[in-house]
Amino acid sequence: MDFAFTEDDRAFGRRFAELLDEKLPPDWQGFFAEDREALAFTREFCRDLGRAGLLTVSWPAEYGGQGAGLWKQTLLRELMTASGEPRGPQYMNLNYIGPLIMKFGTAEQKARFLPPMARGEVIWTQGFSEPDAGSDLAALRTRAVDHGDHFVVTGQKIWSSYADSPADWNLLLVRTNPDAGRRRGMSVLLVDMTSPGITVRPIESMGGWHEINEVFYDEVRVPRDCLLGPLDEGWGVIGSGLTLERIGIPRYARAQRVVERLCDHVRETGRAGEPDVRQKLADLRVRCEAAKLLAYRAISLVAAGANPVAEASTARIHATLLEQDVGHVGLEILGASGRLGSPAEDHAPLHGLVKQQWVHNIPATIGAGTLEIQKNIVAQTALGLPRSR
Amino acid sequence: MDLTLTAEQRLLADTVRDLVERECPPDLVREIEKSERGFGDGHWKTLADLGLTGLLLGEEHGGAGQGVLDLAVVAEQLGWGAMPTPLLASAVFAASLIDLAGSAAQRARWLPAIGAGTAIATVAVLEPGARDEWGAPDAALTPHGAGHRLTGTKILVPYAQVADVLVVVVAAGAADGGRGLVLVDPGAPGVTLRRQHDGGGEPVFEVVLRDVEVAAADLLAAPAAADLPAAPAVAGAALATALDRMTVASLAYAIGGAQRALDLSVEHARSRRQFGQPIGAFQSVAHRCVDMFTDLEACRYLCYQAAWKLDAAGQLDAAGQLDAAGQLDAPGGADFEVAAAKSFANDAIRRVFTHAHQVHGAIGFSMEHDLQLHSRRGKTFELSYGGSTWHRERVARALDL
Ligand SMILES: Cc1cc2nc3c(=O)[nH]c(=O)nc-3n(C[C@H](O)[C@H](O)[C@H](O)COP(=O)(O)OP(=O)(O)OC[C@H]3O[C@@H](n4cnc5c(N)ncnc54)[C@H](O)[C@@H]3O)c2cc1C
Repeated sequence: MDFAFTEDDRAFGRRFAELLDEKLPPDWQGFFAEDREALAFTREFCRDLGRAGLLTVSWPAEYGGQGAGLWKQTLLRELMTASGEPRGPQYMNLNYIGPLIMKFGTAEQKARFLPPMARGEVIWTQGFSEPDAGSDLAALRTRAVDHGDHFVVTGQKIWSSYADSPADWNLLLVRTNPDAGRRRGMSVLLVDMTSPGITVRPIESMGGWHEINEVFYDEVRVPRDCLLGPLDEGWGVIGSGLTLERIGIPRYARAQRVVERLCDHVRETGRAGEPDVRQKLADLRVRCEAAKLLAYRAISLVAAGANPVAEASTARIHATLLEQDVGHVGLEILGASGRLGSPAEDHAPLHGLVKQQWVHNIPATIGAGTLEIQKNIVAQTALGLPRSR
Repeated sequence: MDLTLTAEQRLLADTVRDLVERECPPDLVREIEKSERGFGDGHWKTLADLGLTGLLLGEEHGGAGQGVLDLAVVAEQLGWGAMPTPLLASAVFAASLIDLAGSAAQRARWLPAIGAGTAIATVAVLEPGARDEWGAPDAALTPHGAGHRLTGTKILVPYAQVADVLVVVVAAGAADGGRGLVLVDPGAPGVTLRRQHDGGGEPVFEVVLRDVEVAAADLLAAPAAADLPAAPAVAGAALATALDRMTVASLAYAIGGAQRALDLSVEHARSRRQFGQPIGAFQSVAHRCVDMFTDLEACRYLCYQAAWKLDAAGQLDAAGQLDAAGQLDAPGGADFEVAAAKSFANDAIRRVFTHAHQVHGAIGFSMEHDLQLHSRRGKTFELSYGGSTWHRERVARALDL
């Protein structure tokens, strides 16, 4: 057991920290801030990093990366997440849509889809959830009819993140065989979002701009060479993607950044001596440590060649609850002035950072499998408890 | 970075787990708890034969020269079996104090024997009304002839009745971090032991010290100890470091006990049926078990990290750099990690046992059931070596608040 990074890993982290210092605008509030301009910046940022070959450092060399190991990748993700994800929607390509194509894609698909991701030129959305298929994803009904050289897709998805950014491509889970049982008969299609028959309707959210969308598919033609993985076996493809997604975002790093800013704030405003403030901030900081170590535990198991399903869920449970509490308790510490939460407000403490933390984490325990679903996974995989309802 | 046990650590854990499963069944624990002696002689011999009593001690004292992390791996398995043992009190807490603050003669006198398990040492630190081990002691030395006399009252001293030597924490000047340390023979005139009962599974004692003679040779961290290779750590710094080691070791033991409580709960959730199904199929029951699991995992890696950090800091010490001006509340090196682990675990382990009792229903409240062996120890753990408020305050200081 070793709780230290190698000097090589640390040097890598320092280089990226400097790069971020240099590239991020002084008033950068993060991609999730209530600011449509942020999206434009993230495109520029990704192209910039892509040109320098830095966007995909952790991808294998054969796909245009540098094969930086798991721990360098972790440090990189921590920096990006802590800084409010300057890669914008493209973090999804890098964290798991790209790796999913590496794992399941044909040679042609890899050659076609990976280089634009590495250049930072493409935004993807993911279409799994439907109005009647949320946690019970296997209930999905969007249908793809097999016409030999192409599929015809009809149905509706909801909550598709970044579809109106606009997204160029879509990782879409559809039903290809309605007679094969709930979890069989699904397939993953890579869908060009400019195809005729697709309509995107943004859904306004509490977080301000339109991250989430409804997407309607009306007889959309998808060429057969855009089928990812085996026909009718999309459930397994998505399953391995979800594990990657769950440990892909080091939420504890953002939580810790906000806690650190709160510590600065109470020092600057002469409140660092208040016993209650000290207790609350110390508690949050300890929980950041716990969530980080649990993520490191899951990553250590990946490094050892295991598939840490329960550990990934355990890490996610801690991290998402922590992110929510950093918002709640942080605002409690700021008190009434914390109500001013928009960066545009003159008197907003920390430019509204903490209020943003609160609002953007309301659904932290919903997306990528709700808290209850994560607990069900742990109950069944780690504890061997019966399937519960 | 690698949060998996090494092959050696896995072997160590398996060996101790085996021993516990074979030689320390719950009924034997019950029997030992009722006995005068309060630990199993057979267990003690096995622990010594396995080299566990000398795990932390340097090779010059016949020890294995291993770290707190290895010790935590061992303690976790002992806790899983609720084994009553003076191992932590003697081979971790007392031995660390003698090792860090003792003269060459004191170390040579005690460490090889403690390491071999032929002597048992224990620390007398808490006093009536004390909130935690970091509080200022009233017990004090007064000069008398060529030496001193010691007067004071200590409570909750584990295994004092079988100890060959007591390390007593006494009041001292600011230069020593406000603490002094003296070695006292429990059989010496003026020492009275009275058994106390805290339900925590190990025998604890009130130790009354009335005008006990203390020779100069029995003062630890004595400035006059010119035979030390390096300047001796002042008593305050030694106590701070030893307390941190003990905090982590006792945390590991508590994690083992909480893991057993989870194991028992999961077993019960699978086998107990109500309303025609195993209660584990009720999601509120299953999710309590999951909450126990996720809390425990967090405790475990916070604990290992603290142990690892103490070892990393300890290597600096070996080079003779234990901070001579070390303050009791700011030991070198692992302040944040230890305080983070203990503050989190105090609350988390309380939650774990609350869930465990709820999942068990009435049976968990009965002395016939094994859960109580662990939940009593869990409460004792929470009330020992600092509460979560104290440790969070340490974290706040480490954050420069
Ligand atoms: C910000 C955000 C971004 C998202 N992005 C995407 C995206 O890009 N693509 C995509 O496809 N989806 C996306 N989602 C959707 C997300 O995956 C779903 O919201 C999630 O799977 C839950 O489904 P639901 O909202 O329909 O809730 P429901 O499934 O209806 O759940 C409602 C409540 O019931 C509970 N519940 C349901 N089933 C059980 C059970 N078996 N046991 C116990 N409790 C249960 C849930 O835990 C929850 O508390 C996003 C969601 C959010 C909030």
